[in-house]
Amino acid sequence: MAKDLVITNTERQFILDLLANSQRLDGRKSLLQQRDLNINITPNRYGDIYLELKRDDGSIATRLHCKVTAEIVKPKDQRPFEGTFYINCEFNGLAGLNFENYKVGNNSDEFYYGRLIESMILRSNALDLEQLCIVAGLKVWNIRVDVHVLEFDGGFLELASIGCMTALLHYRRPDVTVRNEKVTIHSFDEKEGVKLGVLHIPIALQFNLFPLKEAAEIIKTNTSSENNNELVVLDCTLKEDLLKDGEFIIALNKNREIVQLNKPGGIPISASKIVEFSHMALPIIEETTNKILKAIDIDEKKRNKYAHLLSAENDRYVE
Amino acid sequence: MSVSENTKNLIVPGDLLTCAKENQTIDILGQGIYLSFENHLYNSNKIYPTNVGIENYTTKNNKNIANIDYNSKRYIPQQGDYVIATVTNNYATHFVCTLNNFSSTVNLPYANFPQATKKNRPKYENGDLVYCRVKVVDSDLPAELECMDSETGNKEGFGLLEAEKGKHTAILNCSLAYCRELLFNDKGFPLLSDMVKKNLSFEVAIGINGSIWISTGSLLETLCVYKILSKCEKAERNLHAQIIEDTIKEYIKE
Repeated sequence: MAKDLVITNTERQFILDLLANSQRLDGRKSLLQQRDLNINITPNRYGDIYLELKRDDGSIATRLHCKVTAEIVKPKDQRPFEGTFYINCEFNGLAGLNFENYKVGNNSDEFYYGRLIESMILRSNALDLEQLCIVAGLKVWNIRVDVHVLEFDGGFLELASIGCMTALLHYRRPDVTVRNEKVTIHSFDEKEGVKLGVLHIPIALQFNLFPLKEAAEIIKTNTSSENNNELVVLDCTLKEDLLKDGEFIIALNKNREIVQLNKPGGIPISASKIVEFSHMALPIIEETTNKILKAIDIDEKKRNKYAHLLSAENDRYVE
Repeated sequence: MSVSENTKNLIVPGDLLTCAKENQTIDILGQGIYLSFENHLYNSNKIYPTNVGIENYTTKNNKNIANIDYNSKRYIPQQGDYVIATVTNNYATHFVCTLNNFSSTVNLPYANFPQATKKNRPKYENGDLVYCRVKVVDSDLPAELECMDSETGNKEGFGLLEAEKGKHTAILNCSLAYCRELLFNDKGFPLLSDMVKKNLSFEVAIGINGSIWISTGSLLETLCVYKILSKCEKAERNLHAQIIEDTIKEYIKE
């Protein structure tokens, strides 16, 4: 089994002291500042996305690869009209010596966050599964997203959720025609691919909590009376991630709809904090959503360079 | 010595070292050179380079020393190295330490402390940093560290690296060649002296295993020193003065 990163007492104290003074080890000057996000869409392919988080000095902290694939399978017996959807998250040895190849499940993070994103997309109906049906009860599309971590310094959940949604938005499956229960799959040369039915774009955000006091002390004192028991940090690095004492995960979309809330263990927070966190998350989600849509838009324009030449539409004056 | 000290060739594994070409006897082997025991009986051992780097020859006390200058982040213990170890576990007879993240562990026996008796044993916690020296290296056993000068039995500055009251400490991991330059080559690589000239006051301990321990009076000063050392690792030598100035301006505004 792979060894874990050892954090010495000196380093722990240093990082926690820095956080208490609103400083970060990687040069950020605020606890709520996030690292720069880069979305790269591979040209000539559908649903193949590389995501990068960049540090202040320009080096890459985390890099992720998301790839969508589709195949035709038999649907589940209970849901004959719906396609299936699956997310496969993998940290491989490339991402760091603390990860091992081909051992999904031994690292709880990838399993846990993978399920979280899958349920975020499925339960909020962000991906319309009924559009994936070809022949009811016999043939449906199975959409699979592979998330591979190529370089890792924290921020996995946000990146993976952004990557999945971007890949799903960008992906086109081959067109199919059904005649007398005979299914024909058309290649991309024959017919333009069909976009997946993405109804809204939920994005997860993780608030990391660091205690200002000992955890036992917080439970003893009445939490509702005191509000500032914890430090809230966004976009933790790997080392900060190992030192945190609890997290609060919220998934939102641009339309102010909360898709998922999760507070698994850690230090207690007051109920009013949840509302506060949601309000904090909204502008960040809006910004990210715009970034995704912009990246897809730019890619679309690159692909259809000659669309205006082929179109029979007249030029119109648009004010 | 027929091989002059100015011989500085780039060596790749598979090459013949210049000293081997000229049948020069080498008494002490440094890093990057492997001694093969294929003809042990006939006393015709061969030495081979194991790393890409620049070969280096020196003579000290009539002994010829050869090593290859190369850079890596993986530390392999060698006898006599001054290192900063992290305590990860303790047993009845020894502490278990790591010198590098994700590498195999080394031992620090209680007997290797000054004035060691059965009852008098050091109380270190897991995660503490210890400045010590590599005493014994064996290919089949974990390496052994010592926290004293075993010839005199004195402490000689080894021991726990802990924050004094009111001081802030940090630990920085960097590449091995950078640590060697900082520790041994203050004339050619006067980064630490440059920092002191800019009125930064700090205490520093450099382990040859790629760890630098910093201690200063305030948190921002510690962060400043940490940032300078980590930025200068990847910058060229002539940019260092600028980096020092900029970082001091950024973190300590007065």
